[in-house]
Amino acid sequence: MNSFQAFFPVRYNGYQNGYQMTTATRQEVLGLYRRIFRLARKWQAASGQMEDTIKEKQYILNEARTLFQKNKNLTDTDLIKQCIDECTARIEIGLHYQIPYPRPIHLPPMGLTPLRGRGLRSQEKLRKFSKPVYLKSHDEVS
Amino acid sequence: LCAAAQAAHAGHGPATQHYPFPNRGPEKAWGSAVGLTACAVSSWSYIAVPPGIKDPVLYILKLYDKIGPERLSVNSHFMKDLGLDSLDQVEIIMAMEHEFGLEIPDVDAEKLMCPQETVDYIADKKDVYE
Repeated sequence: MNSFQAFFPVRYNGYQNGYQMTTATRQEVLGLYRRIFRLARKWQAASGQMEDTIKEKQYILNEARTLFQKNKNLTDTDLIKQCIDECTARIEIGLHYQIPYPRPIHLPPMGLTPLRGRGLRSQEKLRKFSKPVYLKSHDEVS
Repeated sequence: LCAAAQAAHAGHGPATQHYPFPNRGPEKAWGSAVGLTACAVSSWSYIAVPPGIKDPVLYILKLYDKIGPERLSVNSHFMKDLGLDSLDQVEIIMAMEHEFGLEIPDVDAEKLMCPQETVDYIADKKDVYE
């Protein structure tokens, strides 16, 4: 049905030392990658148009490949877990709405109240933390 | 085993199997090509994939742009010889799944590390159904 891009840290090849990922995490990550490909195979666009279906399938596969490749050398377990959460969230949201693109949020400029200081930097810090997990690998478009 | 499987396999469909392929040459990025073949869009034009098991496997690997065709042989290890990583291996196995209409479980898929093992595994699986 729907598939989403995901990005995960995976071993670069099976023979490197020094990574801190456990085997279980690696299995999880590769399983998610496989799941995305399987979903992409059966994806149907919400509009029902063949061109849209093709475009969305391409989008899903490209995004998955790019982000997985980008994050494949991560070693920090927290970041890895965050990436896994982002992937699962994107998959579930995409399946639910049948839209493969990331779900944007509305955050007006200077709209958050910082605890101290009212400059741009505290605002940006707050905005970084207020981004939901499924938008972590997408930059804000202003 | 392979010959028997090939003989049984050839009896099932047309002499050459055709898979949907967009109107670009097979020399374009395999990623996008197999992505679309994996989608099985039926309104696109078709390329001819050779019948049997070993030939399609090698043919698909030749189409993959991350593998140099001169290094590809039946016993070349994906990671050690061809320099691919586990993500690429997943993609390759998914393409094989789609090619042969099989469903390869994760446990088995991660063990297939060279084309010969893939051919043997598929031949095994096909025997079960035939």
